[in-house]
Amino acid sequence: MKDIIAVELLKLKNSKILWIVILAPAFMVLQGVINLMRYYDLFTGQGQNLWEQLYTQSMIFYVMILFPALISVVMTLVARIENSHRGWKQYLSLPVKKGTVYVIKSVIAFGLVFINILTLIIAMLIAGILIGAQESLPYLSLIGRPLATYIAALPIMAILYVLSIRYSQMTVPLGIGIGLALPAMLVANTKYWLIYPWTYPIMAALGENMEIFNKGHLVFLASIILSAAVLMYGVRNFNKRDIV
Amino acid sequence: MPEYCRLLKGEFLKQKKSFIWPVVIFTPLVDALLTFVNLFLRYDYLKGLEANQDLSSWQLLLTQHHFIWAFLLPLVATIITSHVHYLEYKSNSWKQTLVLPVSRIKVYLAKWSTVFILNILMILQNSIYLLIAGKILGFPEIPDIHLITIYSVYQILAITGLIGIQCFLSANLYNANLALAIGFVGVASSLFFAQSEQLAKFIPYAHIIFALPDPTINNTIALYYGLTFGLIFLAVGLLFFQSKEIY
Repeated sequence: MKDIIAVELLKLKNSKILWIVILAPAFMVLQGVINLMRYYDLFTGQGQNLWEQLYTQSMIFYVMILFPALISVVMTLVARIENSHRGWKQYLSLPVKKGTVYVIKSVIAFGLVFINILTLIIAMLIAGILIGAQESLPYLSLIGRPLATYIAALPIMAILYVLSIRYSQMTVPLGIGIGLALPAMLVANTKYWLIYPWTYPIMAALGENMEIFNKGHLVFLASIILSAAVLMYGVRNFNKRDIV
Repeated sequence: MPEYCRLLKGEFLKQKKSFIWPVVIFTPLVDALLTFVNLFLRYDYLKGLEANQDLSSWQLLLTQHHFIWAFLLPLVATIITSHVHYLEYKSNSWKQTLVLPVSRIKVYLAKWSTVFILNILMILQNSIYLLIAGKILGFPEIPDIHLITIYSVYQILAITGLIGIQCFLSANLYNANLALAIGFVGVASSLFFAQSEQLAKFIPYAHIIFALPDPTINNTIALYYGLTFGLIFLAVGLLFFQSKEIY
């Protein structure tokens, strides 16, 4: 098992994926800060909390567009080597358990998305200090909600991971991931949000600020159940699949 | 010219069984469907808003549609561009292609043209679907073909800049995901860039936002800067591709 983890990490070593998951959210926070400073009076004129404003400005486009897009990229990338050079055949002809390979790859992929969220939190904390936010740090907003967004995004990760492993063409997880991400903004405003997992991160990230997205704990319950079901299906399907 | 045509034909042959076709076909369809549902449910409410009172039904349709399409089109254009180039990396065929007695300029142009044609197909399909959506919704005005044609032309010119920069990145970065990530970050930030017209002029990811034919929107950014940046990045891409190392 240790060998598989080491090999999987080695494959990602030169993929620049760490740069992608670190720089992308940092850039979104930078953009949020610039926007906040530009319209400083508008955003803080009525005594609003600067940390909260920083969170909203950084998070709004991140959670609606970039986050689901980055999940698609990460999930595509973890399966890239096996998909691109008929690597599955070689990999699985070795004395390794199919299920173990599948689970380890998924843990690494999910971990990369977690690094992405951690970077977002750290970038917001640094940005807040740099712009001189005087109020006490709202831990729940700045740390709790991004972590909740991560949990809410588990079904998207699971679905795209299953697709990335199943299809060698990168356009399948990318096309589906992006294609379903943008309508989420509209679906999130309807009663059908529950059957559309791409709305979950929006609910988790913006629920506190926007009443329409506040759905309580149902988001997380649905998220955990759905992601577990999809991953179980993925492992079963991968174990049964013929590698040709 | 025949060499370029053969290369272009080859590019489309490579895409024959790829998932790119469902993406090109369904993206504009799904987008138009969402616009249709939006207006079907909220037409009276939207028409009643003060901001929309001077808009014709067709203008309202485009305004509502552009909110999603201005992000969806560039994101999908980014995926298409990466996919067209990724095929070469995936099968390690840059080496085989570039050692053949074919002009590198034509190889690059064929890839650029493939991406451009696929994007035009998406834009035109979308325009047709929007016309159909408006007809089904039973707008009181006659179909505004002129408005939708202008909108299509603006989009085609606006997306040229993004295609140029993404082709340049995808052809020169071995890792297709890196080009994708840069594109996605660019698109996700596009609305932020678009808040400043001066800044947006120089950011190809933001040009498409200015493609909506509306008196309050500066369409020259989509028209002139889209095309100009498209040509500049095409030239830069060609230049770099000429000296691309193959292993």
